[in-house]
Amino acid sequence: MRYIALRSLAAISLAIALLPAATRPHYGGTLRVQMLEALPALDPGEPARDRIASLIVETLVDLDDRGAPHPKLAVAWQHDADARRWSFTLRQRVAFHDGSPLTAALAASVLSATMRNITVIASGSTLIFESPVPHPGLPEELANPRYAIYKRTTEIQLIGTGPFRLNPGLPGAPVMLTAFEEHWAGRPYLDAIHFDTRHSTVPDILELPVNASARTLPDKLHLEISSAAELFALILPVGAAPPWREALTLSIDRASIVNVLFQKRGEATAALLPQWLSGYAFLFPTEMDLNRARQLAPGLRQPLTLGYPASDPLARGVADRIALNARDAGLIVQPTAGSAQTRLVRLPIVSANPARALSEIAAALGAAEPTGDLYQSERALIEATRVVPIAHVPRLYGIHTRVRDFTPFRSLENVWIAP
Amino acid sequence: MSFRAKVMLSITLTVAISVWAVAWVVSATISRTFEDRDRQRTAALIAQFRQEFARRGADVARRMDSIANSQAIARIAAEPSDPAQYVNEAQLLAQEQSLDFLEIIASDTSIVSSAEWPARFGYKQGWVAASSDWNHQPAFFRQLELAEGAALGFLVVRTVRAGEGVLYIAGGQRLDKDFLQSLPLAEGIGVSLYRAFEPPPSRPEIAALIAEQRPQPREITRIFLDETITALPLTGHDNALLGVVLIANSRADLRNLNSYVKRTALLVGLGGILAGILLSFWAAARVTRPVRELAASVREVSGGKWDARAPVSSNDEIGQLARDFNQMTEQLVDSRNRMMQAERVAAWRELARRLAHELKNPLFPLQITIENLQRSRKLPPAEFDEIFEESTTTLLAELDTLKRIVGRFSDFARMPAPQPEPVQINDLARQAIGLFEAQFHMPGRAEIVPHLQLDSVLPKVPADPEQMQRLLRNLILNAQDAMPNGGTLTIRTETLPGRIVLEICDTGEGLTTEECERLFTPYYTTRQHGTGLGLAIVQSVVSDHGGTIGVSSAVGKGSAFRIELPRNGSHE
Repeated sequence: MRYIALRSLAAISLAIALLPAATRPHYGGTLRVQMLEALPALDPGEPARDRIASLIVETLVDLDDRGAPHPKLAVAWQHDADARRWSFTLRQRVAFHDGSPLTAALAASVLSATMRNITVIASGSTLIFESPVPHPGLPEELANPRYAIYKRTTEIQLIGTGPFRLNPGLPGAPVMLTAFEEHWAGRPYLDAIHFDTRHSTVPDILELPVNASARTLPDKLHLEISSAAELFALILPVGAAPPWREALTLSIDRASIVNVLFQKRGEATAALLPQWLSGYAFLFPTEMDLNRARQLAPGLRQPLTLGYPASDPLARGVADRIALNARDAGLIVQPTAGSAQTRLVRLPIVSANPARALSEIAAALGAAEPTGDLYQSERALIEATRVVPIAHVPRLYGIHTRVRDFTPFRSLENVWIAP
Repeated sequence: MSFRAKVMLSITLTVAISVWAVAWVVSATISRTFEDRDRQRTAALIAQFRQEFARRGADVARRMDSIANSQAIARIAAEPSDPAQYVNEAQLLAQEQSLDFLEIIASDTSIVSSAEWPARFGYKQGWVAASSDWNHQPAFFRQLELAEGAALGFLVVRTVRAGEGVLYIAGGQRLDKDFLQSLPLAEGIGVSLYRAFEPPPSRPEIAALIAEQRPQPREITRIFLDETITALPLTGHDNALLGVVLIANSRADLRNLNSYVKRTALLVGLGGILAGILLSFWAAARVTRPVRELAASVREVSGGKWDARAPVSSNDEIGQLARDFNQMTEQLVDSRNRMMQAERVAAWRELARRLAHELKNPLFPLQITIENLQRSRKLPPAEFDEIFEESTTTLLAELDTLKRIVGRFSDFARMPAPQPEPVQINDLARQAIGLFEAQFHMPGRAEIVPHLQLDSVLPKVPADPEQMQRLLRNLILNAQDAMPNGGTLTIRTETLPGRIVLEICDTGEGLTTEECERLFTPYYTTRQHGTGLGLAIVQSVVSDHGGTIGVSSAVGKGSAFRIELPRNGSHE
């Protein structure tokens, strides 16, 4: 009995000793991320790729989970009475990955090239933004990776100030990031991050399609599902007859697509922003109405060719189902791998800020930036762009048990690997 | 065509027809042999196709049995209502079993999972409920709907218990060109597949062959120029036509062999024809020479050489014919000699008769006059002188008549040979009419009206103008004598190819047929005082000029003498 008590005491002591070591971040190690598809080139302005670019480059402002702006390369900002003139104070002693310092002049030069209708002037360590119209949301706007401060050379695609620097390599090749020791916020936990479409061993983070089955994951990986992160939608060409959008909206069986093809991961929707983000997505009805669609069909004799990404089998399934549903309504939709005038696209929900998320969707659709009431803006955007929303879907990841502090939807900046 | 040419043609045709007949028989035999071979090869291929289909069907059935007994199907059968769990199951199972198609279908015939069209879950496949005994049925053809269009496959359906109902598992393999390419094909055989959902083939004959299949699918074989095509229908469960396997047997070998046979036959035929021509030339020469010699002899006989002989060079029918010919000509010569003697005697008799007749007329007055003179010697001198004067006058007159008669006979005997020179017969006709103009209108005689119908482009002919003038005068005189009661005398000339025509027509009493036949016989006359030499002289002149003369006459209507003279001086 005494022996048992001694053994129990030793075990408890060991557990107490190990507990802090398991929860305390550990420096070092290479994080191997297996992507669903290769990236042709890194571009901070491309939302789908900013999860890598955001590790390399930084913006003046950052947004928290609720969409509130926080200092990043800018430590403070203020504006005049009508929010036409803004001044942002740059963080001191910030260096680029090539060792050169971040200056207001350089930042002004980069931002002047990317911002429209706003004049950016450097004044000492301050950036002055002047707009002919009031711009109350400028800090949130500057959080967009599109307005990151970076440089390019012929050897390196992106040179930024972020926690990781990009190793030289060709576009499309595996992407290797190395910890930037001189980062203004301190060295990141990881020594390196290796992005590739295939790894020889079980990766630390495995990007998965939305219909992936947890049963097929390797033993050491567990499934992490984000909130709705993408919008599956059809985009009709500008020249398509207006009834096409209504007929397709009424004929598509969104529930079946979500329940079966997406394995019940996601939400059928007729809105651009997900319910959790906008709170009004339910106002856009998703129910199919074949009778009404059939009434519209006689005026739509011309077949519609629906293009989907050839490398996306899930998109093919959705396109096939849309074609089947359309056939039930008397419409002819011909799915085809590759580009077509009508496209099945995935539009990323890039921000927890609904206005910014809608703004990014509008930008992706090639529409003007929405202003005013969000609901009205979204409805107008749907009408103007002939977009047919189908479902909001999450992102799925297989996460290795040694990976710590991984949060879907957030940067890998704070991830560390348990020893 | 000459007999020799006919013989040559006959031999050549015989050779050509023989060669053609042999070539045709050889060609037909080869065609039949090749067609038999094609039929056998096609039948073997069809049997092979069916065997292959049966083998693959059995293979698919085995795989389907394996799927039906799998844990995955058991799991679905336990809870088939939620397709979300199984949407990819059919693809995985199909991949495992190497099937092109696989659908897992719930009891209510809705698709739980589809390998070939994953997005089709929830849609109905009513046809699976048509049978309740799928587990014992072999593979069958079926047209399937896929996202990219229709496809043809052979399917096997299996069922497993799923609670109160059943779970249908329909799977199979695609029937396409790859399937056909897996069949080992003999050289010259091609196989293609037509599927009913495809547009008709562009070749009209193939399209027609397929159209023929639609109402009543059956095996059909058609022979075309380059190939023999057998259409093997592929039918579904309801016997509807789903596709056609087209087995094309190339006829290139047959065509090449036939071409070779035809070329050879052509060469042999040409050689045979050439040999036939030479042979027939030799044979014809050998066969026809006696015939040609006989023909030449016949021509000599017809040319007046009555003693012509045909050489007898053989003892066959031709030799016998030559001997008979020679015998015939000998008899002809004998007959002619006898006839000539008879005619000569008859002519002498006629001449004697005519002479006697002509001479008797003047002799009788001479005798009477001389007897009067003898009797008058006893009369007084005055009377005697008167009688003497009358008698001597009469004697002289009669002697003159005798002299004239003898002169005419003498003239006929002395007909000279013609001295031909270019003569315009029209001019001679006008001159002759002019000579008789006064007599035609002589008072106290019935008038004769001359009428000239002369060819204005009548060419000159070589003739003796004096003899032709004499001919015309004799004929005009003859016509005048034939019209004692007057009438119309017509002289007509005409140009014919190689000769001219001269006609003298009267409207007199005419002649009987018998008179026409004897008209040109010397010393024959129909008149009381004629010598019978006029027309004989006319015929003699015409004959001496190489021409012909004929007469046509009708009693009471007149006569027409038609003379044809050669334009080159000798009768054609």
